[in-house]
Amino acid sequence: MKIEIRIRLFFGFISIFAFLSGNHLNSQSEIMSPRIANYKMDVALDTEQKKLNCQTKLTWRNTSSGPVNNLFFHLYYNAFKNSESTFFKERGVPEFLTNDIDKDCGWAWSDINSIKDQEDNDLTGAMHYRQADDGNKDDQTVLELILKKPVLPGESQTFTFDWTAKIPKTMPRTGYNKDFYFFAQWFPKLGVYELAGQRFAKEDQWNCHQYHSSGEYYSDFGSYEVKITVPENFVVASTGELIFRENVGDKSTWTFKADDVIDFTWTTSPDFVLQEDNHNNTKIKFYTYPYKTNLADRYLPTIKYCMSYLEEHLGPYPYPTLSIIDPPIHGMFTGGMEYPTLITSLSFSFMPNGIKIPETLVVHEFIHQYFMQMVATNETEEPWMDEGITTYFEGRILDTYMGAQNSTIDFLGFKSGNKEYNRAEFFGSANPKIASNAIKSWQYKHGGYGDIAYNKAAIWLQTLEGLIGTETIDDIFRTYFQRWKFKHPGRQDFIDIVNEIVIENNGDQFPEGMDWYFKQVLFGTNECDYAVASIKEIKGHKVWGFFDDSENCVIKSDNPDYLQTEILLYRLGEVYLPQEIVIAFENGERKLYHWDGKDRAHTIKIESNVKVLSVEIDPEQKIMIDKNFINNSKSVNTQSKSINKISAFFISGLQHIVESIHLLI
Amino acid sequence: MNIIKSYKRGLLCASYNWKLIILLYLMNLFLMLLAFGPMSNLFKNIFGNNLAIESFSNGFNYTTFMDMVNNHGEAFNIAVIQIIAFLIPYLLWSIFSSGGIVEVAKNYSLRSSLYIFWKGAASYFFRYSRLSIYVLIILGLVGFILIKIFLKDGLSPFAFYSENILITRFWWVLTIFIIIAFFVATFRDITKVIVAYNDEEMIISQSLYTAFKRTFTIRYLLLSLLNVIILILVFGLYLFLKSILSNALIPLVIISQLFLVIRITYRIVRLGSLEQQFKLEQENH
Repeated sequence: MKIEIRIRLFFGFISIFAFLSGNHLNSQSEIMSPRIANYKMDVALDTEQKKLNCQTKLTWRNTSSGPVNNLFFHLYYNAFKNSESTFFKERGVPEFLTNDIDKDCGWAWSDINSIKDQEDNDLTGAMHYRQADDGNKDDQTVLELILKKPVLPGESQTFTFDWTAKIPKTMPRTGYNKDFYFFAQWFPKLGVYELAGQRFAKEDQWNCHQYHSSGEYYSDFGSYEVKITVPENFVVASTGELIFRENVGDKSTWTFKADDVIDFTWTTSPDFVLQEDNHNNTKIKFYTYPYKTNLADRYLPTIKYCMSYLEEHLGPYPYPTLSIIDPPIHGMFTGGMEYPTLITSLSFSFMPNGIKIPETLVVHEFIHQYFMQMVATNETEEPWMDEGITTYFEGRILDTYMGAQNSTIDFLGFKSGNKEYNRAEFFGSANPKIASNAIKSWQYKHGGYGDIAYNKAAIWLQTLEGLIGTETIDDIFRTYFQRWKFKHPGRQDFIDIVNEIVIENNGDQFPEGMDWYFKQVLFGTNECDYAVASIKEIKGHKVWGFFDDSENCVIKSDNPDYLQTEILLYRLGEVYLPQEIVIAFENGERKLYHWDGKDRAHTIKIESNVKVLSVEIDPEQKIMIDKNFINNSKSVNTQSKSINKISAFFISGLQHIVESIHLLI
Repeated sequence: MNIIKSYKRGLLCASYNWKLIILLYLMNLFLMLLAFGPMSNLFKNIFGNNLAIESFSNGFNYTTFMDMVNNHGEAFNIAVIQIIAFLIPYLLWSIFSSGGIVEVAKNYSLRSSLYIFWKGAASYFFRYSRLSIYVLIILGLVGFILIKIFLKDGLSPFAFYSENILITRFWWVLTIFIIIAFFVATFRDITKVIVAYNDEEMIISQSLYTAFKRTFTIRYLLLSLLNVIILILVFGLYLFLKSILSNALIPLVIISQLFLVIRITYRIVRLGSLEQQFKLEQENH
């Protein structure tokens, strides 16, 4: 009986403690993800040798129904080992890096010195580099470990390994420069063991691609406990929460914990200044250098707006922290990246408020917390699911937050909204038809990765929103997020949800779903362009000639007041989409017509005594994937007044420019 | 006091020669209408019979502008090149007209004689052309040296601890360039006055030397500065009015034309006042 009371009291105290600790503790204690790959690491930064020395304890769970005899690791730092790695073969060694590489030998490497399984079997000799993507024998970014004892279905095994890494100097996304260190993809990281039927997997298999120049990362969820030892005066920022810090001599050890994340990233510098804010139960930490602290006024309100927006449209951000790093100018090689609960931006202290790069980046990178971090797609294989969806939400959030025509730039009279900027970037690219969204990141061999994976996907998602409505697309993304958070969806999973919701919400409009749409925009490379070709007035109507086998030439009817207007529309591109057409009449009336957009040419005939003034296809510009909005309309009257006004404005500017020649001569 | 007197005379010179101001304004307008002709035609072809141009009614429209560039880029580029090409005849006209302005200033008591303008413009054209080349070389050299100073540590972002080093350096370099350009412009205009006053066939070293000495004379510097300050004040007023008018295109164009007339008047006042300053100095001697 006493024991029972003690037990009750014990659990009572635990409950009170949990309650008093609030949601913060609740969110952490709740297991949100499958936690398949769990890491405990003890890493020491050697600032003299520019090395990391680390002991890692990895516990991996086999979720498949068969035994697993090998493990695959990413050794990303080996991409920077020499110029022959696949990473540099694909992109070439950028010119801006060569000076630093020559001067300080900025090349890097990552080596596992020894590895043992939980039964103390030494597996060090059972490691082999693999190059499944391109067969490049010089590439050492993927390592296979053959196990002595297989990991049985449902079983977890722990592996202990010591490893050392030489830190790269100013390499893409990671490395050091002066006193700034940034560690992304820095530790030997396990690939994802995909089960048959998951994404493209036909059988249970490791998904562990080499490090390519385009595309980023894909990994399993897990818990991380990382001890980081740095010089005592250094400040460390990282994924997760700081749970403990102690100083020993001239060193300082920071211990961080992060649950239900797919990666762990950290950065350190003696010059970091930390500014903090809160959003609901999340502590927002903004780290930058002393001369840029004023930018907190731009970052923090923006990120809080973005968090609210995504919470409302998708679901809550469940982590207790979010760290925003704005690197110094000498650390800008790390800017504009996303990692679990840690994002990096890019700015200059002198950046005018009208140039909204900091806001754009911080919003973009935060959206990745949802698409790639929680909904853990594979950016290497399906970059649009990560970057395209993120760019789509970036446009929605920024255009709502700062205005659809000035959310990217609003400087010296030059204005651009985010959505329109991304659209113009895509159509202004060297070849918008260079590739579809259905290829892997390293298959963009002839360029176009950014334009297709980011912008094109964002544009056709905007167009999808235009076709099915904002409410339906919100339902789609909410369902997609809720159904696939802490999992690894593929494109078919997304398409299935789109079809399901569209048939449910817009069944009368699209009874077959949207496969026809994805076939064109996701899997195809064709362009979309509709135009109003002409507006022709036919006045009077006379029926005359020989009728009824008579030899008399007769006028059967003659109506000189009759007016018919023939509007000719063209589909100039290969892509077909249903279109809305608005016809404006002389009496101020506006009529809406619908066209399925399939024919190459289409005529609308209007029999009315009221003159047609203008015709406009898609007046609300819902079909953002239309490459030319200028030819979407036609007016009967010449717009000479407007043109003269614009010309006068430009001529006036030119007059001042040439008058300034006098300053020189 | 001579400075104020000279400036007043410069103003009087401009007011006497309102016909010249109109001529210079019309010439500016005519050349720019010619330069903008192809662009205007392009606008008519692209926007003549559609509604896209209406998107500019509330100011700059990025989507329409970029659709024009992306879909009619080649024609747009040709029209832009045409505008740039017109800078050369305008440069020559500027040199030509400055000779006329100096001659008018020399004879400022003769009201509104365009004959004097054309005579002076023709007489001094080649001498002022040479002078312009010298000035451009000097400014080019100064610019080159200052850019070298600005780039002394390269432009690699990784080399700097903070971008503030570059910003500070940029502002220093720009300030130095503006100060030097001010001195060079003062020297150039005094040389023009002396060349006209002495009516030498060539710009001889003696004239350049005299002008150089005058450039560093407090009276000439203050007079030059007074001209610049008044122009800056008017420019400030112009910007203020622009900000008030915001996107009202036609009022903006009208204000802009008024400011252009003031800028043309400034040229006459500036050369006229320096001319008068030199004349007063010679009379005192």
